[in-house]
This record gives sequence, structure tokens and C-alpha cells, in this order.
Amino acid sequence: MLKDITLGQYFPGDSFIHRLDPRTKILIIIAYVVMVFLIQNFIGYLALALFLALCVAVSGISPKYLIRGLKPILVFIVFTGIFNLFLTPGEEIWRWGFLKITVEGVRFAAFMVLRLIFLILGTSLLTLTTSPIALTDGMERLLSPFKKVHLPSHEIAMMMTIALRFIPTLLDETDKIMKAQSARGASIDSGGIFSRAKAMVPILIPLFISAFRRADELATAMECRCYRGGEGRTRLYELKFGAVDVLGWIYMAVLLAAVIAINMIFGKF
Amino acid sequence: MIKLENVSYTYMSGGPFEKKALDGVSLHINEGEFIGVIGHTGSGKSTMIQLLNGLLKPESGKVIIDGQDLSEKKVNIRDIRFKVGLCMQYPEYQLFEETVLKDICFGPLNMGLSQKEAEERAKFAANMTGLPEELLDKSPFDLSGGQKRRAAIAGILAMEPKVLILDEPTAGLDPAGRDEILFKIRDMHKRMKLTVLLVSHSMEDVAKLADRILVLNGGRVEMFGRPREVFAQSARLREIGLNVPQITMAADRLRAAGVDIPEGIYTVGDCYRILLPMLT
Amino acid sequence: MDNIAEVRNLVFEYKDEETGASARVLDGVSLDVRRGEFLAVLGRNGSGKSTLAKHLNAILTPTSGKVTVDGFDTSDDSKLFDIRRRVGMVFQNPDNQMVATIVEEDVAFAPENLGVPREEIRRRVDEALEIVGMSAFKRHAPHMLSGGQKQRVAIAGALAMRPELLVMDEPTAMLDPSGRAEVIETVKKLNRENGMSVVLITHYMDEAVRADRVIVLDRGRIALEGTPKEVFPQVEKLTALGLDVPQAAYLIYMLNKHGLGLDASALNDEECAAELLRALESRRKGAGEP
Repeated sequence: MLKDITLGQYFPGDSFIHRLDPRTKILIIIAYVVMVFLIQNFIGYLALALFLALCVAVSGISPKYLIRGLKPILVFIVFTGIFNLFLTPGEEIWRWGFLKITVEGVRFAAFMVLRLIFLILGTSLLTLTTSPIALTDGMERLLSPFKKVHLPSHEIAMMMTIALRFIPTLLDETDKIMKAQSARGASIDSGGIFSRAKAMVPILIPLFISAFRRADELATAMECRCYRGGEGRTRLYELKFGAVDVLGWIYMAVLLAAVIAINMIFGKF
Repeated sequence: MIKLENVSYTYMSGGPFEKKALDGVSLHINEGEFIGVIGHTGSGKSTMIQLLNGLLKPESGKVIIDGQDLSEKKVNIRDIRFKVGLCMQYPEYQLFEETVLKDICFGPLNMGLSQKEAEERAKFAANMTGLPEELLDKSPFDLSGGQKRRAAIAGILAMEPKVLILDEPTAGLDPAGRDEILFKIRDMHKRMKLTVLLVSHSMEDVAKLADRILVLNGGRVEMFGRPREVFAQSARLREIGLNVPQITMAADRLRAAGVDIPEGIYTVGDCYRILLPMLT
Repeated sequence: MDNIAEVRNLVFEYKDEETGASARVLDGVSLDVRRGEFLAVLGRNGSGKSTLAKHLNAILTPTSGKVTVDGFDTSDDSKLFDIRRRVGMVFQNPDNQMVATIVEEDVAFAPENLGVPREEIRRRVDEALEIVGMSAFKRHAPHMLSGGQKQRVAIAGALAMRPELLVMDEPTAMLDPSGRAEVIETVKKLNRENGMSVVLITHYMDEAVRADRVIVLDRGRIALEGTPKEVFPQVEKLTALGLDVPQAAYLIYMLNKHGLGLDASALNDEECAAELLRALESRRKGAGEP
């Protein structure tokens, strides 16, 4: 299951989307997230779906691969859907015992599920087309104006880089520890919630200890390589806005206008 | 004791990263044998040992432990894990309890033994691995590297398995620490009548201890025989990227130069016994 | 100056936070690392090897005694980065010394920290990856590489600082034989072709045999010192220090117990076989004479 996670993975490429400055992409994704929540009717989602489909087609990322990224949170999506379906008060259309479905419930459940799916697909597309380094660089640069109010933008970006660097390593490690404890008869995937939580202790403790040891060694290694914070640091890749970015902004602005227009014309579904 | 019949295993089957780890492996290991398992990274060693205690299930073929086919529904995999103790690489990273004793008891308690029985077994296992009794009440994280390794091995041994599989038990230890652990493993094998599978990169270590050596290459059995038979094929071993003991290479050179020295020399002692009469 | 690093009467003690007792890890070590030499440091676990390594780039500073690197005193805080820039470090666990998620970005980490201009970083990164033979992997993610490849990237990361000295603390301990060979070949080439001074800390005799000079540490002191040919024939001493002896040297040592007078400096299979053949030949000639 750990291998299904597509969020945070990066597929190198040279598409229009890949070439966009990470700052552009971060701004676009923020606008996108706002739209996901702003949209009031299904026509809006249709427009957004078209936009997303266009991006996917241009990016060269296999849609199948992208959709597979939904798998790990499928349970969560289904749960959210059911929860909203049955628990939203309003005009009743079906009832069985204490369970009832309302018109509002159907509508709300559909919206919540759509929102989750759009959020995951959009952010997955961002991380699949943007190297983590570029992403953190973009973040650092976008946040740098806030340095004046003592926001440690370099440190935040560094933390993100290291976290991204160590996610695969620690996933591997978790797998190894789980196997080692299974070999000692630990039952990790059976029993009720309480016994399962208890069964996590033999996995989490070694994992934390290992993570601390790694952090300690990494800190020494960084010191050895003359790390002294963001002050006076140069970069192998400097970020530069190009013509593609202008195009990116234009597309986004048009889409944003379209979504607002759709909302005004069609109103709530 | 252990039987593999035409066992294959593929990682990420069907995906773009598909990788065949084991390819039609058949072999038979007798009760009480000491087997050395050799192969470079990616040869299928670690896949094989995980199949032997049910951490992985074969894609095709049969894994039979002590007469039980692991693929049969009625077989309880946890029972197999207690029967086939697997000590993974760098096992000290599995330590988690407050005290060494409690950690060693983890396996036995999972088997459903009473606290008293578990502790008795733990003390015996600690003794077998050469862990001093006064360390048992300490936190496992206060031990030295070599002691942690012993504590982790004791944690497997305390389940009193019939088969003990050790994956690179000496990795990262210094020569003295390595020799002590290997000596203790030999001791366990003899005194507890264990069937042992020792996975190692070091030909020298394996040569010293094993009754038979299994050489894996590209997911297949390349050689399986007595050390002398295996080291007699030193040219082939080097061809598939394995190190041959220095003494074997020196003996090979002497033979090539016309000295009457048999094939498959792998210990300094053997070489010495053959050369001494020639030189005096 | 002939020495890239000089260690004089180095004593290092650390205080155990819980018990308050202080432990002496290094107990009066003096040594020179000569420019361009390949120095191997041996010793059992806890002999003080790693602690010594960490003194060579001011990660640790002496309790007493003095360490200088290229003339800079490591106790002088104001010279910290002058020292660290000159000493590249490579550690045991390849996973725990990589910062970035792309190989070339990781190699660029040190020059970025040093504020090197962008074009120059590019040059250094390309050059360093070329030297360790990892240019083809520059856009790869570190976790997809083999252990030996990761360590070569770590070496490139150190080289990008353009150091004068490369200090490696058991860089092969976690690698398989082919990974070990990759790393040692890389280091050997770096030393021979680029004239890089190297300090290699290791447990493996076959690695130490390839050095110009060997130092054996024991309980914080230097127990043996010399060329491999001087050190490894001392079979009894090495065994007492908890170290291995190459099998070739051990065989000749055993045979020499019978007064055969073989040349004990044979360290590999080739030298060993040659020496034995010479002895067999001269014995045959001796026996042939009446």
C-alpha cells in the first residue's frame, strides 16, 4: 500500500507544465484550491475538470497513474461521502429506520467527494511535474518578503527539502521494522483498534529512534559541508520567470473568471 | 526440514518496475545442517529467506517447512514464524522495550508463553549469545553496538525456533566482534541442534562454519555443495561478482604454476598443511 | 608545507551527562597527514578512530593538544569555515549524509553554502560527478541508487568544496563487496590521479593494504604505525589488537614459524604465491644438489 502513494513523487519531463516556474505553479495551485471550494454548481466542476484534463494531457503524465494516487485515500473519500449523505438535514427523499437521505445530503456528499478528488488530483499533478527542490525553492522565494516580519522562509524550505528527501528512506525503514517484528510474532494487521494501536508500539519506537539517529548524523554531515543557514547562500538553479509563466497566468486568470461567471449565471445547483 | 519446489517470486508484478527476484528455485535442506547463503545484492537471498518464514508468499511453487506446505490454508503462518526464526540485517533496529530482558521476551510472549517461561527462555537465549546477565535490566539503547546485536539475536533465539536464519549478522562489526558472534552462532547450532542459514557477503566467514554453501545468482541456484566443491569453482564465483577467499586465489595461482595442490582450498590451515611438507 | 594536517598530543575527553564521569577517548595522539598521501586508520570499535576523524575538520576540538589543518588551528572559531572547506568528510551511512532529493543538487549543497557563484557551482558539480563516475545519474533521486553509488555521490559532494584532504569514516562498512570495490577504486583513483590526500578509517584489511601508510589506534593511542608491508607481518600484535590479518600474511607467518625465512611482506594473493613459488623453486634446486 505504501507504494501506491503518488503524492510527493516527481516524474521528470520537459512539458509546458514542467517548465513553468515553481512560483507560478504554487500560485496556480492556490488559485485552483480556492476555486475548488468556490464552485457552487456542477457546471463549474465540469469547467475545472476540463482544465485539469487539459493540464494532464499537456504534462504527459499518465492519467491512470494520477488516478491511482486516489487509492490510498479511497476509504476516506467514501467515508466522507456516506457521512454527508446520511447526516445532512433537509428535505427527506428516503428513509429506513433512523437512516435518511435528503436532497441536500446528496448534493453535499457529491460536492465533498468531488472537492476531495479535485484537491488530490491537482496537488498530485503539481508534485508530479515539479521537483521537490524546485517546489521548496519556489516556496522559499514566495515567502521571502515575509522575512521582514521574521518568518524563517529559508529554514521552512530546508525543513521541507529534508522531509521530502527522507520520506522514501523512512518508508523503507518502516517496512523493514514491520517485517522484523512480524518475524517475532507481532500481529500488526489483526485484532481490534485498541490491540492494533498497541501493536504499533514495537514499530513506532524503533522508527523514532532511527529517525533521531539519522537527524543527528545528517546535522553533522551538513555542518561538515559548511552549512550555516540561508545567509550568503547561492543556488545552482536560480528561479526566473519566463514567457511560459505569462501564459500560465493568463490561462489561470481566464479559468478564474469563467468559474466566477458560471457561479453568477447558474447560481447554486 | 526445508524444501523449496520450483519457487518463483516477482516484485511489483505487472508494473513498470517488475523485477524477478527468484526464478524456479528448488532445494532441500536437512535438519541440523549449517548452510551458508552467498550471493551479491539482488541475487534473491533476502527474498528467499523471507519466503521461508512466510513474510512473503511465493508467486508459484511450494515452500515446505517441516513437512508443512506454507500455501495450505490450514497452516498458521505465525506458527511457522516461531518455527523459523528470522534475524534481519541490522537487527538492533528492532529493539524497542524498556529493558533488554523485556525485549527478548517479546517473541516468546507473542507465542502465548507465560511471563515466567518467557523470562526463562530469554535468560537462556541471552546466555547463548554471550550477553552478560547484568545487562538484562538495562535499556537496550544503552548497550554497545555488538551487545545490541546479541540482544536482537537473543530475541529470535528465545522463541526456540527449529531453524535460525541470520541475514548478515556481522555487518558493521569490527573483526573481534564479528568473530565472537560467529563463534556463538556455531555454538547455538551445535548445542541447540538448530538448522542454521547464515546469509553473508563474506566468503571467509561462511567457509569457516557452513556444512554446505548455497550460491544464488540472478534468482537461481548457481551452486549448492560442500565448501570444497564450491571453492573449486573459484573462477566462476568471481565471474558472478563474488569475492573468493584470498587463500583460495593464492592456491589457484600456485596450481597454475604447476604446484601439486588440490582445488577448493579455502582455509589458511589446509593450505599450510599441504605446503609445509613441500617446503621442509 | 608538507603536511596538510598536524595533530599534536591530542587528548579528547567527554563528559557523560548522566553519570558525570568523564571518559578519555583520545589519549595523546600525534600524527601528520602528508600532502598527497593515502593514510589508513585501523582499530577496533571504540578505539577512538571516529573521534580522531571529527577533529580533522573541527566538528570536535581538542580537550588539550593541538590540531592544525593547512596551518589553521581548529580551536580558532574564526577559521571554522576555512578549515571545513579544506576537509571533505564522508561517513558510514550513505543515507544520512544526503540533503537534497536530486543527485546534482546534493553535490551542489556545499558550494551553495559557501556562496560560490552559480556558473562556478555548475562547473564544480559536473567535475565532481565526473571524477566519481556518476555523471549519468545527476538527475536521479538518491534513494534509487545502490549503496556504492550513494557513497560515490557523497564523495562528489565533498569534492565540490575543492578540499585539500578527504577524510572517510568507515565509508564501506554498510556496503556489499561490489559497493566496497566501487568506493575504494574511486578513492584510490582520486589519490593517484588527482593527488588528493586521503584519510580512510576502516575495518577491512584488504582496504588498508592499499594505503601508503597505516596507523592502528588502540584505546585512544597509536599502537602501530608504518607502511602496510611493515605493519601487516606483525601478526601477533595485530591479533592482540583485535584486528584481522590478511590470509596471505597469516599463511607466511605460520610457515615461518618453522624457520623457513620467507619474505613476510606479501600482502595479496599474487605476492604470496610468488614468494611461495620462489621458496619451492630454491628448495628444489637445493635438493637437486648432492
